[in-house]
Amino acid sequence: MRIDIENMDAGYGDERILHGIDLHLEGPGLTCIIGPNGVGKSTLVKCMNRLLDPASGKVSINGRDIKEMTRREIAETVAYVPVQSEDVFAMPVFDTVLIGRANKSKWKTSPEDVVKVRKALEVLGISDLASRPFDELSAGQHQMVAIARGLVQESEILVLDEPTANLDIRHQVFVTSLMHEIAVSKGVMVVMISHNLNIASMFADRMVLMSKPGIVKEVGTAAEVVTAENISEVYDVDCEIVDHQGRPVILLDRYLS
Amino acid sequence: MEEGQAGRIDSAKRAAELWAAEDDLGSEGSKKAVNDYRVSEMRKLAFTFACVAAAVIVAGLSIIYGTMDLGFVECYEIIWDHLTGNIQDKLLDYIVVQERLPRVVAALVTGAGLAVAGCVMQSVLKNPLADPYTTGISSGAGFGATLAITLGVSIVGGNYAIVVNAFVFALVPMAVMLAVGKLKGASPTMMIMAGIAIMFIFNSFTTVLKLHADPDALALLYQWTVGTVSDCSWTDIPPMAAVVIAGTVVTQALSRKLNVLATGDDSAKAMGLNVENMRIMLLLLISLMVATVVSFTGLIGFVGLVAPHVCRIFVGADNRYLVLSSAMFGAVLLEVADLVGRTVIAPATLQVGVVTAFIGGPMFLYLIMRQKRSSW
Repeated sequence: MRIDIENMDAGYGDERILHGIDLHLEGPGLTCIIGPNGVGKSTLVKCMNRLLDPASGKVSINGRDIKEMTRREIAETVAYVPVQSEDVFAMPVFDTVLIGRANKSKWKTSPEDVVKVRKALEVLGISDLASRPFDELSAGQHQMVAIARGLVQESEILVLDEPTANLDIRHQVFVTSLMHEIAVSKGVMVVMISHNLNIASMFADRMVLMSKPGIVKEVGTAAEVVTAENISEVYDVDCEIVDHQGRPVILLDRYLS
Repeated sequence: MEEGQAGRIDSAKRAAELWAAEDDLGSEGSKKAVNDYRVSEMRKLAFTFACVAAAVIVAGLSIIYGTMDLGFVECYEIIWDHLTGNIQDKLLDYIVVQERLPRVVAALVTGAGLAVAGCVMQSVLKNPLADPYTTGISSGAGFGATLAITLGVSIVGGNYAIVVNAFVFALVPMAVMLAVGKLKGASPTMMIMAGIAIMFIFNSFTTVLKLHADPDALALLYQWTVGTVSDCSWTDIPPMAAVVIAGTVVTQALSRKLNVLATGDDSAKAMGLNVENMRIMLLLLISLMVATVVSFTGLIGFVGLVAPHVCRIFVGADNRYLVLSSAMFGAVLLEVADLVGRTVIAPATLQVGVVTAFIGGPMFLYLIMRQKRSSW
């Protein structure tokens, strides 16, 4: 499995957010996209499954230009978990996750669907929420449900826009770690946006650092990407990097320059 | 996993192993989960069946009511005899099948059509207040009818002048909404606002026309704007039924996609749905449906708004069950409203459009208050 982005510019309307993006992701593993606010992380992942058409350049999945693929074909390869879920007419959590199986089965829910959804809830530790209405949940619980819906699509590529945004630290560690473990054990490519650099560094097999004005600054392992120079330059903070269990950890200076 | 972690049990790793493991459909837990799910499906269907049963019973109650006394069971027998071509009493057959049955069938068809339309609009436009009224379809139909009634300006002449006018003008607001949606990337809020704008424009035109209308025309117009099924005859029912049944079948077939659409535009696109096309196609379909029924019955409000909400309380928001249950509940609601309208202040009749609001309003308020949730 691979995603190739070549010389891509993208944005909304006339506004360009991404400039000359070249990014090649290949093989299973967890890729964490990091970078400051407004740098185009969400825009970049939206280009990976054609939620947004790039202004120029080319995006291909497994060697096929996505412009020549139908939405259905893209959906079968790439599952996407948006940063925020909508719930105008809330369903129970079980049914909400079940919608993710729409491409896997026919009109009627199959036993496989039911078992898969049940397992996804169990994997994420939210089995107890199964019959609760979606709109009664907290923001963090919403996020877990959205991740479950991403999982049950069983695609070879899973893209998540800030899946840990509303989670407490244990759940941030859990979800990020789980994404890494699933990527390894199921052989899928997981791409997620993260703002928690330390947790992303702990589990990412690959990191993509984005910087202003909407470019990819560096791609590599956590140790290669998360350096004091990179972090201070891109985020405009001073910090020290220490090694903890073989991964870089950022210790921030309390003073901003 | 990493050095320094050796010997510790990692819950994420364990969860991932669980996810990677083969699904065991035969296990006790799986069997129970599947069984529980089937039971929940049955419960959702039960509501629809209850509505069907209610429709049949209310039909009988509606038919026995009139100057000629008929037995409750007798009227089913007469209908059965008519269907099997074994007519016993020509007069009774005429009264039941020709005089009293058409309005019942018209009420069922109209109620079902309006309710499905409301259900689809609410889902597609992601707005609990969307219905044929708030989106301007009714105001377009009202203007078309007013044009025919007050000025005699109509697209076709004769008996169908009002019907055809109402139908054609009912489609105008949707055309504008879709055009706005297309220009603005089919944002649902934008489309609803366009619909409301059109509603006001048409309503003001209608008011202007009424200023110079003669009293007879105004009386006719009044009757049309409150809606009634009493004027429907067997000749009106085939076009109404054909469009409503076809629309309901198509909507039901797309109901799983409606669920996907409800997860949000980006999410739905990511799941392989062509969101813009789907929204436009469904809105066109239901505007045809609404235009067809209201052009025969006049403006009947409330059913389209309320029936889907009541059904959501009983069957939930899963459109696979909601569409059909809305159709059946809407049908019964209008059938009951028609019966009540004929009986409550007899021998005078209250138009069905008035009664739907009378029955539906308090019932809806009650159900809202009974809800545990504070948000819809």
